[in-house]
Amino acid sequence: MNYLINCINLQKNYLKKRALVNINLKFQEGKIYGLLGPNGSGKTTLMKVIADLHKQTGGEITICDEVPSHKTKAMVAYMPTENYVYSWMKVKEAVNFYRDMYNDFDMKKALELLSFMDIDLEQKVGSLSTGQRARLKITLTISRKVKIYMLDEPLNGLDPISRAKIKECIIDQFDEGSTMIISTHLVDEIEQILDEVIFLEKGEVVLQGETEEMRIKRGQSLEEIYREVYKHA
Amino acid sequence: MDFTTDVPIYIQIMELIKTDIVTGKLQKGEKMMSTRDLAVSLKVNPNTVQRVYRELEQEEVCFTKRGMGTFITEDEGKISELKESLADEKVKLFIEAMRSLNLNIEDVIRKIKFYEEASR
Amino acid sequence: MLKLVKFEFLRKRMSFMLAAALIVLGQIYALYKYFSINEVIRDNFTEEILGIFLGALAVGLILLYLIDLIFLFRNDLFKQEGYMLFMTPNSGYKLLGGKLIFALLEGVAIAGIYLSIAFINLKIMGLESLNLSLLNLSTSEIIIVTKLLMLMVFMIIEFALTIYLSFALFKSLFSNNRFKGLITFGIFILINILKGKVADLASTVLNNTFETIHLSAERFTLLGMGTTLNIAIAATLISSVLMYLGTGYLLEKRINL
Repeated sequence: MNYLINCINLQKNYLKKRALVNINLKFQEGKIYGLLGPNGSGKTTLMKVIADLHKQTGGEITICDEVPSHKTKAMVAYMPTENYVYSWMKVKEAVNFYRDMYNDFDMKKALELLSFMDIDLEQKVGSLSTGQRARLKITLTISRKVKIYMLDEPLNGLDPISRAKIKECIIDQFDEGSTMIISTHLVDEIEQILDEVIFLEKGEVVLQGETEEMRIKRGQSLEEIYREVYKHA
Repeated sequence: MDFTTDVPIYIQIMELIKTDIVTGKLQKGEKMMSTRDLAVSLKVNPNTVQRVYRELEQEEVCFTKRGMGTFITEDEGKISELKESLADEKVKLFIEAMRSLNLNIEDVIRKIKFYEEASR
Repeated sequence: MLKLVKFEFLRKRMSFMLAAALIVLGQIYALYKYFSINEVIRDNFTEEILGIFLGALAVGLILLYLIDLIFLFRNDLFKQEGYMLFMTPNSGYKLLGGKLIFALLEGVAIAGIYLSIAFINLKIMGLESLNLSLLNLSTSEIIIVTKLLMLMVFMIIEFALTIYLSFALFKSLFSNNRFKGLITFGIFILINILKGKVADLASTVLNNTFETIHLSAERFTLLGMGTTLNIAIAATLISSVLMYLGTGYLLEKRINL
C-alpha cells in the first residue's frame, strides 16, 4: 500500500507542554481524513509538523518517504487556520505570489475557483470579510497540484454560504492520487465527506478508523461518537 | 441533502437511487451522473459515491460502459424486483411501528382502508 | 532567490513611497528655512548649516534603516502572516539570503538617495568647490575609503544577522512565549557579549603574533590603518558567515513557527 505520510512514535514537546505523544499514523493515497478533537488536542501541531513548520522532538515522520524539509514543502499544500495571507496584498498579488513560489500552482484553476468563490481579484486581502478570506485561503491551497492537502479548521466561524462553497470545492477538487487531511471540531458539518477519522486527545490518538464502518459497528453518527469520546473533556 | 448519520451514507444513497428508479425519476437505460458530480450535488465524499455505484453494479441495478459512464439497467424485471423489495421494506417498517403501538392487525387494516378511502 | 527579493520589494513599496514623500517634504521645508535666515549669517555659515543638515539626515536615515532591518524578519517570524513565506519550498538559507540581499539593496538605495540629496543641496547652496575637493584623493586614500565602505556594509550585514540569529534562537527554543521581545533582546545581548569575548581572544592571539613583526615608523600610519581595516573586515566577514550558517540551520532544522 502506498503511504504518503508515515508517523512512527511521533512526539512533539514544547518547553512545558507535551503536544504530541507517540503518534502512529499512516495516511493513504485517495482518502480524505478527518482529524478530530477539541482545541489543544494536537491537531494543529500534527499538521504543522507534517508541513515542516514545527519540528518533532522524537520519533519519526516521513512525507512520501522523505524526512520533512523544504523539499517536502513542495509536496504539501497546507492551509493554516490563521489568516496567513498578507493583508497588504491584493487578491491578484496573493495569487501571483503562489504562482511565483510554487511550480505546481495551477493559475487557470485558481482563477476559475476565485470566480466560483465570488472573490474580486482587485480587492485588498485586508478588506475581505472573514468568509471571503477563508474562501481565498482554500482557493490558493487547492489550486496547487500536490500529493498532500491539509486544511486546518476550514469551516470554523464561517457563514452558511461560505461553508457550502468550501465543502463543494473540497469534494469537487479532491484528487484520487492525493490525500487530504481536514481538521475540525465541527463534526456534523463535515462527516459525510470523510473516509477515515482520527480522534486526538491531549496529543494522543484515542480512536481511529473508517467512518462508515464506525457508523455500522456503533450504530451512531460521528457527532455522537465525538460527544462520547470527549464527554469528560 | 441531509442524511441520518447513524446509517452508512452509502446505503442511504443506494436507497435514494433505487427510489428514483422505481418512481421513474430515473428511466431505464438512462445515463447516471458521474460519481464526482453526484458527490458534489449530495455533498458527500466521492469515494462514497464510487462505492454506491460499485454496489449497485453488483446488484445489477446499473452497469458501466467503458469510457461512457454508468447507466440504469434496461432489465424491466430488475426494476419491478426493486419495487417489490422497496415496498416490502416500507411495509415491514410500518408493521413494526404499529406493533410498538400495541395495535392488532384488524385495527390496522381498518385504519388503512379508512384513510385510503378518505384520501381518494 | 530573485522571486524572494521581488516579493520583499512588493511588500515595501508603500513604505518606500511614504518615505520618499516625507523626504521630499523635509527637503522643501529645510530649504524654506534656509532661505528665510538672515542673508549675512547664511553666507558666512553655509557650510556649517549644510553639515548639520546632512549629519542629521544621515543619523535619521541610518536609524530608520536599522529599524527596518529588524522588522524585515520580525514580521515573518512572529506574525501569522509569516506562514505564507515559510510554507514555500525555499530552504532556510535561501530565505535568509533573500532577506540579506534585499537589505543590501535597500541600503544602497538609501545611500543613493542620501548622496543625491547632498549633491542637490551643494548645488543649491553654491558649494561646488567643496564637492570637487572631495574627489581629489590619492590612490592609497581611495583604497582606505573603499575598505571603510566595505567594512560598513559588512557591519550592517553582521548587525542584521545578529538580530536574525536572536529571532531564530528564540523561535527554536521557545515557540510561543509572552515575553518574546524581552527574551529576544536578551539573546541579542548574549550573542554580542559572546562575540566580544571571541574577538578579545582572537586579538590577544593576533597581537602576540604581530609583535614579532616589526613595522617601520614612517609607514605605520597608513599601513597600520589599512591592516586594522583588513582585520576588522575579515572579522566581520567571518562572524557574518558563521551567523548566516547558524541562522540558516535553525530556520531549516529547528524552528517552530
